[in-house]
Amino acid sequence: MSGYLPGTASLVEEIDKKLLVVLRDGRTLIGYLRSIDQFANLVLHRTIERIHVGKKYGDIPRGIFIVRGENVVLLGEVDTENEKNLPLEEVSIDVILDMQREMQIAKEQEEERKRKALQERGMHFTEQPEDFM
Amino acid sequence: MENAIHVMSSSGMPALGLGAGIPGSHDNELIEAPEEEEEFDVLNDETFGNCEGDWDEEEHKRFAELEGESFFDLQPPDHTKDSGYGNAERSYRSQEEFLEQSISRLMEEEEDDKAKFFGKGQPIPFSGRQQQHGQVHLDQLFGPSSPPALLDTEHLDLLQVSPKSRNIWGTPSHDSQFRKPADALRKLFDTAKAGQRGAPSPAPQVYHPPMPTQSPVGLPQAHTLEEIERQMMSRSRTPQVITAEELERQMRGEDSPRGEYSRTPQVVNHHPQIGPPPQLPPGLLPASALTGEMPRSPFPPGMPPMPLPHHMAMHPPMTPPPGKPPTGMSPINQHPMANGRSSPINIKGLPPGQNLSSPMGRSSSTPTPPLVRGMPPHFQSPHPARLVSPYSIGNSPMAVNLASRMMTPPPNMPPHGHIPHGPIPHMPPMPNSPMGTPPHTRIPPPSNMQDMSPHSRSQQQHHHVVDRRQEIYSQHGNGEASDKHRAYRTNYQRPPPWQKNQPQRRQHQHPQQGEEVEDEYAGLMTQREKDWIIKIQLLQLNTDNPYLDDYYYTYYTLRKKQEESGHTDSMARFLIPNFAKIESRAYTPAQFEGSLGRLTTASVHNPRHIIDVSGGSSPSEDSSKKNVSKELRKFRQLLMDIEKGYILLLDVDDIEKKVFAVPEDSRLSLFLERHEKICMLYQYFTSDESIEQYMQILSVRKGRKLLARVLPLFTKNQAHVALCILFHHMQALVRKDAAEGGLVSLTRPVCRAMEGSDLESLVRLVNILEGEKPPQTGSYLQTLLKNQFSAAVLCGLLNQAEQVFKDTSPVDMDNQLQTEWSQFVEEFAEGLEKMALKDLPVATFLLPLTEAHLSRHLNAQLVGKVEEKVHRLTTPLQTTASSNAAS
Repeated sequence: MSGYLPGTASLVEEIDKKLLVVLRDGRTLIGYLRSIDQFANLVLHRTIERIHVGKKYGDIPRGIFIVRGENVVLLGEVDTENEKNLPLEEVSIDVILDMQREMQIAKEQEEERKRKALQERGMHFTEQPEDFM
Repeated sequence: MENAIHVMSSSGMPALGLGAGIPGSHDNELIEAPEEEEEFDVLNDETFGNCEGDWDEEEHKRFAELEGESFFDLQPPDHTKDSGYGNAERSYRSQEEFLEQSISRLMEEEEDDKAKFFGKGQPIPFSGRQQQHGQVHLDQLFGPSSPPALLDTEHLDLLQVSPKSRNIWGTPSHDSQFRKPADALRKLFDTAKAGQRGAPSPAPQVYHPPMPTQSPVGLPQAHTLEEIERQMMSRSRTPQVITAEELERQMRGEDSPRGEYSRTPQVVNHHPQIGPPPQLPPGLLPASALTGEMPRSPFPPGMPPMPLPHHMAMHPPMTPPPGKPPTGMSPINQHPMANGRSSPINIKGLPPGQNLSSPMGRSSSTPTPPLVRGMPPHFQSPHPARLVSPYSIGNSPMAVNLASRMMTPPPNMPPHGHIPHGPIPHMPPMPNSPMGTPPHTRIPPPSNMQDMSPHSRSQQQHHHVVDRRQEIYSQHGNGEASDKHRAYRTNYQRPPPWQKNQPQRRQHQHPQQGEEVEDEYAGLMTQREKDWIIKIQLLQLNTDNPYLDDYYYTYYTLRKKQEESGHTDSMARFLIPNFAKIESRAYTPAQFEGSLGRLTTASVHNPRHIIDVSGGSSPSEDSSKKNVSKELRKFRQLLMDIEKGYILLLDVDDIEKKVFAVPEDSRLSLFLERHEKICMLYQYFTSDESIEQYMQILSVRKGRKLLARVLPLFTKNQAHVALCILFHHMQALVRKDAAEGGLVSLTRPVCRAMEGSDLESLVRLVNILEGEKPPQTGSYLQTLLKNQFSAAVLCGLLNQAEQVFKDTSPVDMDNQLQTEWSQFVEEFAEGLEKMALKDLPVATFLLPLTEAHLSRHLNAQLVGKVEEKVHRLTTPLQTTASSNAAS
């Protein structure tokens, strides 16, 4: 709990810290929080988008992000000291993007298979994915 | 925008160039133009430009030439066209056109100097956009979408360059015209400074540019480098706070309340010697103004302490630097902080993105080395300036620092000779961009120090820049920080020590540069903005009923307070500050009398009633209800009623808590409210309709619980009535309860409720218990005694009776009542006797007096018989066991 706001939390304390932000569309951003507003819109500086696939990850440098508050799922401070000691393996951007695409394709195929199976059994439904992740 | 510009330039009016498409340029025309299209003659003189003085054909030709050159082939400008400039001014209708022209010239000249300038690191506007430079500028100048900062940056870049070449040939009169934007900048700068210093600058004013106020750019006065430096030096007080609005006003060339600033004559003098003139482009001035007045300067800790050491170091080498007029240096000397800032600005003013000083930009710790790297001071300064001045409300000191910083590098770099002027022009743009441009050289405000990483904080402390920061901090009342900084200021010697210290201070493994860049960006959000956010959040936390809205936190803090204050006092009541406004909660919107219909005044507190969404019953709902089983419906209704009872109970609870938090005078209303609610509850249990439902209510566990909780709230009379009703149903209840035994929850409250009853009430109760019809004496007791609750109730009755007998002398008691009571006691004993011990329920509630009572009324023999049983009934388990063992 902060001194500013007893009993609750505020992003004010996270300013100028390196944060990891997860967005509603599933993206993971890591950047320095420079500014906020009352809607928890964030200004991230030196942001990288980190894509995780399995045990590997890849970073895409993005620069400055302004994130609308409603799209943030969660955020947390990055432990800068242990940042280097991740159990994950970093790969290049191209590699990770390829991996991500493959994973996406596999997922879609699985979904399609399920849908067909259900359809055969008489269940039809359309699902609107909202926030996914 | 650029496309638009292109179109315009090919519109066939090359002379007007970019100004053609700009709204401002047509101002005069529009004012005069007739409204209806048919009314003006498309072929008239005005349209075709035969009017005298509308424009000068010659001039425009020249301009067209220039324009063509500047935009598409960066050839050296034809300076012989200078003479036409004055005329050109006349011919231009607005400041924008003028500016445009000057910008185009600047561009041309800039190309000249390119060779001298550092080729690698150019400010972003320059690099890669040379061809469209002019267009870009114009876009940004005149397009509505251009942020002022960017605009000024462009401006600065151009103007910074141009005066240099301009002044060599130009006379003050010419220059003045050309430098109108610069003048405005200077003027603004002066104004800002004047406000701080409280006295006009000693330097006489060279020119008083009659800055046209039409320009949306608001070109402020430019200032010579030395002038700025001097001003900064002389200023030793804490910078004033300058609000964003003030800055904007200044930008627009209005007179700030701070007074007019004297202009420096050095503008002209120094030009030949110093490279980029101190004339600050429009954008620059606000920055300098900012710097002068910023109480808070979010300079990153990475701000190299260079400024100060530079300053110190520069005193001796004042004269050595070739071509540096002592006067130029004096400002630096005067202003330690400025000095401190200048070199760092130069070095790392550039955003990482800019190639100009990628090494420089990063190494805040090495102001000198980057400079030594041979970055042309000219370019250095612009970039740092642009980058450095972080514009935010509390940024003026920062800007000043930037300016001073920019000035200091020159002394440090004799070889370059014209560094100082570079940075300054670029300063203004920064302030204008509300946090838009990365504040490379921001020093986080003192209050930010708390949230800064330790590493950056330590860096900060070691930086001399803090000198300025100290002022800022002191303004904020952060004495601790300022003390530290003061100490550092004195200790700080030269850049090298600062450089050396830098790595030590780093706690992280980050590369030096990366850290500094990050530190530079730290503090983007000023303390004021943070406070604003916190204020909003606190507002959201306001609540009328913390027990309701934030139950756990409320109790948590209560408990904590209790622990702190000691364990003696009872649960401290939570004092809610906004409870005081408890009375004014009812808000009735303004209503008008005598008006036809109902006038509504919608406001935040009284929004317009658009749609009535209430839980009203719709026809469909009724019909569907009928389908549901009647009993089920009734049962549901019963449950709902019980729930309502609970809500009333909760309200009473809340009121009880509120009572302590509210001042005395408002408590009465609370009490009344509470009483009212209790009465409602009472009604619920005792009204005729409820009596019919009584059994049902009490068959629901929640109903029982409700009754149990409500009984203590009742007044004596109310309680008695409730008990009567309860006893009335006792038999039935007991029968029903045989399996479940849920009535026990009522035991204690009932017994408690009986406390204080007089004999009469007791007798009445007993009579009720016995039933209407002539009782088979004692038989009713059988059932009652079997059930734990009823048995306990009976014993409770006896208990209370004993109490009564003890307290009142026999004289006062009614004889008949006594007789009746004795009769009851005998019946009780006999009934008890008939029952086997093992059938009797075990007591849960201690009724100490029952036994004694029996002794009082009964003969010893009978007492002896039932003693054990009574004991069992009236003494809770643990003692019963012991008694069993004993017997």
